[in-house]
Amino acid sequence: MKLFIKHHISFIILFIFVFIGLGFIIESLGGIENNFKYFIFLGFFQLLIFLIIRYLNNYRIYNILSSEPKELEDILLDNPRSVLEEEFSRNQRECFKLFNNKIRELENIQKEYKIFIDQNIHQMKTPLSVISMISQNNRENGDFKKLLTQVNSLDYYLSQTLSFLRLSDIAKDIQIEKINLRVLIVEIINELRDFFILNSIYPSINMDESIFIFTDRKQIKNVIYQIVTNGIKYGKKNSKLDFRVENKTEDTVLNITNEGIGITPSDKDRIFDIFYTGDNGRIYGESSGVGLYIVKKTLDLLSHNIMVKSIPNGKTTFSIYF
Amino acid sequence: MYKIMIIEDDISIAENLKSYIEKYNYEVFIVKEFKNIIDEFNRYKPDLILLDVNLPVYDGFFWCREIRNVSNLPIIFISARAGDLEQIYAMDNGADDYIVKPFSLDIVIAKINANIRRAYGSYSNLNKERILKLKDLTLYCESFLLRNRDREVRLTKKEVELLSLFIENYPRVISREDLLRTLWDDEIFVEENTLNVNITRIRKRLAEVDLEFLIESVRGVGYRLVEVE
Repeated sequence: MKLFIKHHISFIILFIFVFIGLGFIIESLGGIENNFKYFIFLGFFQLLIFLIIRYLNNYRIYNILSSEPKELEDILLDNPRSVLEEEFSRNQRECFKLFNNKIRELENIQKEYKIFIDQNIHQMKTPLSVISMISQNNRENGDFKKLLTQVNSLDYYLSQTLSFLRLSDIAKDIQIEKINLRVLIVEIINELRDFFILNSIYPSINMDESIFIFTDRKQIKNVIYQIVTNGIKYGKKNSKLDFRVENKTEDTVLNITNEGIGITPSDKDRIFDIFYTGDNGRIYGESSGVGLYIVKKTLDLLSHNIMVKSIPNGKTTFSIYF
Repeated sequence: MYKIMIIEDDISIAENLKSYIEKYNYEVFIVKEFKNIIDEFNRYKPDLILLDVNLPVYDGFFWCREIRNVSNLPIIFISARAGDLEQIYAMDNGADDYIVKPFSLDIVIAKINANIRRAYGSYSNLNKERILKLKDLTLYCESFLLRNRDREVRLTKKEVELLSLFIENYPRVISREDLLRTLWDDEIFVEENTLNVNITRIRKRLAEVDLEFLIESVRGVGYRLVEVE
């Protein structure tokens, strides 16, 4: 009520001026009959002055209300001039505070989740190491060998969960350095030795020893590791996984090609979407739809492009443009 | 014999590491008292330390710094944390190497050997030649020789590795995967016919010295050494 009166006080003043003040003036000038046009002119003039003042006092509210806010801060109004602006600004500030508190609360919950999952995964790695060691110590026993395969795939999923958790933090600690691409690929292949052998896939590297790329070592390793893992997983027995470098005008392009089930054209555009598993995921199970999402996100952050060419039941090539 | 001290509070990991490392001619000691590791260190005087990061009382980084005050020996960290930060922090605190859990035991041994070699020079006097015997057949693993009574043949490194696998596991079948894993080299990876080529070669070597054993293929599984009747 108070705000309403404060906001409309100018209307009341205008009203008094037009009907009473103006009435007196006209009266003293010789009555309404003789000055009707003048009366109208003065009336409109006062209205105009009134509107201009009002507009100047409040136009920022109209601006804020009619524009679409892009950031949360856009709804705030600084240095209010009129009563209405003051109240509007105060109100928005309170809303802003509420939103912010809510967001902070959710962020905290998310942070706690992250810390909890992160810690627990690291905890899980200890018993996993024990199982892995016992299995490695008893490799000649077929059952333990199978166990080792399962342990390795469990470790893969745990590591993938960790990379997913850290995805939002990658941007903060990217370190660009000069990396020998061949050395990096040899390192990845050797880490995946058992997986290659188990699936009867054979790596072959066709690239110069002196090809260097500028990127974040750890992140690009994760990316290539993921693509190679997929290449082995969906490859045909006794086929090759081929690593080849192409030099296009400005980019160094790494092509990783496998021969296997391939990707259908309808799936191709969506393989980088999160949780998208496509036909292959449905047929082969085992797919979480997260690996390639992490690949794409990471490459976006590193500003490298990725392209896919695939023939179903034929060759599939992932190309990374450095 | 070089002495290795394991500082790891998970007893299963420590015990498994111990039993594996001992196979490679090292003496292993597991720390059980985490309050004063320096005392244990002085009592045992190890040549190399495997150190976990998360320990009761103080963490591994702390002990690494403490040990560095009294000794220069190689220290290898073992941790579940694979982050760059942890690894850099470990190195900054005086570590020589860092292994991430879960680890491959082959890699643990390789890193121990490499660090021992770097710190104390060649380990040729440490590793007496590994000699494998099967009846009259003798395989000298370091001098790459295969002998049967008075007949002798020189082998390549790969042939020794494969043949020792067969002799050690006689008369069990060795799976294709295990053979390929043995043949896998860090630089030259295996190919489709790598195994066939190598098996053919060993068969030839065996035939050169002896006719009592031959390598038989077991369909769909792998190969085994059998005695000729």
